[in-house]
Amino acid sequence: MSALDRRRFLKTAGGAAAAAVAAGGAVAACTPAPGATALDEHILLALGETVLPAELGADGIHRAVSGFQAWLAGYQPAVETTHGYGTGTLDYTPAHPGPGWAAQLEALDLEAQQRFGATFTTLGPDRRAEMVRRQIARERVDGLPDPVRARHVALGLLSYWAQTPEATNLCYQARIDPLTCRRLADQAKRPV
Amino acid sequence: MARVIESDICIVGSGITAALLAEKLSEECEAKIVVVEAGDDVPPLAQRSRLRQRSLDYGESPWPHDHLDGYEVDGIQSRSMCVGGLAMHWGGVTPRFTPEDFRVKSLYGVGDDWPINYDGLEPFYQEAEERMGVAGEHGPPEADGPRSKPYPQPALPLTYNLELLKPWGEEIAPFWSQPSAKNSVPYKGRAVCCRNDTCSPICPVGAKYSPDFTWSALRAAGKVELVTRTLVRRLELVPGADRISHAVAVHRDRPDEPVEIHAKTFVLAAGYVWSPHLLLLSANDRFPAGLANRTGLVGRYMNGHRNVSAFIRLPLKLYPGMNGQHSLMSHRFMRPGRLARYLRHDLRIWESSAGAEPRLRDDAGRVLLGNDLLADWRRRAERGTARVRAYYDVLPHRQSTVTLDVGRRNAWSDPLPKITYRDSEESAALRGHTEETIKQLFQHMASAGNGELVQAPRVDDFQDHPGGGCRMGADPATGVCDRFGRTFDHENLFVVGAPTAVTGSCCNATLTFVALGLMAGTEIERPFPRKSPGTGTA
Repeated sequence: MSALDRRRFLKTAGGAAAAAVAAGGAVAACTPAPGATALDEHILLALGETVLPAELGADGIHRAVSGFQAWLAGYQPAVETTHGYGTGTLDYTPAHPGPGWAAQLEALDLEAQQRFGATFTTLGPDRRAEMVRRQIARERVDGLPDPVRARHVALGLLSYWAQTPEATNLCYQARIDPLTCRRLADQAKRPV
Repeated sequence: MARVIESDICIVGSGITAALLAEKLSEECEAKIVVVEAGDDVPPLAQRSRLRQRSLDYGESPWPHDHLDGYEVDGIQSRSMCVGGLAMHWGGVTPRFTPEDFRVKSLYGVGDDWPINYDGLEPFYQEAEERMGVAGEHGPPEADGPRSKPYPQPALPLTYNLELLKPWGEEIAPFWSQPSAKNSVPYKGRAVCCRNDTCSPICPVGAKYSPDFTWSALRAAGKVELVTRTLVRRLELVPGADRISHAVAVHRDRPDEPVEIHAKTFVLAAGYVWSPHLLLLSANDRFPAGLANRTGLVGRYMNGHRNVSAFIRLPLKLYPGMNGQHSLMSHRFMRPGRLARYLRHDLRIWESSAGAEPRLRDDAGRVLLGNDLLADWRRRAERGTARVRAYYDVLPHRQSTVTLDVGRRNAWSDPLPKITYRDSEESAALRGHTEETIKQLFQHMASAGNGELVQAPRVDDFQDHPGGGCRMGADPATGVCDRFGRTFDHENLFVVGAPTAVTGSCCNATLTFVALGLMAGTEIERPFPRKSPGTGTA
């Protein structure tokens, strides 16, 4: 099985939340990478309210958005990526997505002001969704990409959340808690 | 002036076979053991939770700097070169081969028999399982090889998902919990598995066996000297004789200061590429085609197994993510009885989320956001998905090779290896039949469960769990070494583990490689005084 296959295995066989981050969790503390840009928290929260399920509630959306910010802050470009069996190829993490995503958030706000005379954060949900849909519609993929490879910040946030254990638990309405340390004996029981 | 290291036994390489062989030798004989490893030490257990999290968060390698730069070879070659070797990445899956694997020529008229049989290797399978700590259960006799003792640990329990999938699988064949070198109970000071589910590439709690644990214990007790960052470049003969005199190495930090490792016995445990590669690099006037290569078999019969896999949607409510790396296993098709056409394969079943992942667009192409995305995800998650995979036996051609690539050289101007896999004529002729039969089996499994394939089954062309290159044989005409790994051309030179495998079977092969190494250990230790009872660590 190639390294690519093993990564795909983690992402598919391992569960919906494989290759994921723990929501709001243990993103390692490290020095922000050169070029790292903090995203505007107000616009990002408004984006989260637009793309994330309302069923998460205000707290859940805030948690996802904060986790996304922390995840982004910990990102380091040009770090060697996982290699494993069956490949001689080494690869490295891509360029920092932060600057581009920050500019996209700014562009959403500017567009909102030009089209509707209001900031993105003060727009109603339908208008926000319409704007975001138009951005995402340009993506040619049907699935959700690795967050760091998302070309639009809305997709990055959505992908980040969808890979958290919290998202899997919400979907299945059960405490599966993928990729977390749990009692081995409990795996024989149906998650509740 | 060379730096000289004196030893009784010099082991080249520090992977899983080397580690457990060194442990055995240190317990059973009085000998100074020096292990030479080109790579670095790996991060200690205390750092692995952090490294795992970075790997999950960003895809970063959890084993940074585990390879040598400038080793981009022609052919598929895993890059790990570090203390512990490739088994730092492994998934800890430890099936045994079945008795048929060692007698394919006698039973089926294809390939070559091994110079050993299952019964001869069985005690060393047991020893390997006990040394690394394997959790497992014995399958039914028609579908699993015999064993003389129980597994050292109880089987890993099946997940709720696997419990649901088992009756479905057993409409086809008996299935049981995959034997694994993962602790179901505390073992040798290591923790119980807690389902972090990243066994490959990294276990953050030490529940999965990896060779660094053995090295740490051996080094702490002063039982071996492990020399890292030191690349063995060639083996030199005693002048006018066929015995190995010493290994010539280079320390990566002090390339101008040659290192010589002198020993009574040399053991190549550098894996399926680097062991034959070193023999070929060591060519001299007496052995112009390379050491141990009078009959021209070094670097030949490289083997492994390909796989066919599929995802099957089933009318079962599963909860993917409970422990996705654990699986059901069957060896029913490794023990097929009489065959009109040779075909042997294993069969495994995993939980999966394929076909039920969150997605950006629905079937009509509409972008999904927020509650729409969640509703679509939930709807598709109402049915479960099983991943099925069969490794099938690929018999190697003599021209399945590791050779020296004079066009690519490392930093010390030594040619890099070139790796070219080739199926035997009979395997090549059977390939279409083999893969089509397995695909039909998957289709049958889907139908039996009132399910359907998510997409067409996929054939992975990569030969997994590679071995060969210094295969064992009954005599020099058929092998580089005998059943104990002793090379026919050099009485004090052994090759152990993967390179000695005659065929790759059709299941994960690491346990077999280790068992072969432990069997070799009984001969490697023979010239040295036996340790008094009670002085070992067993």
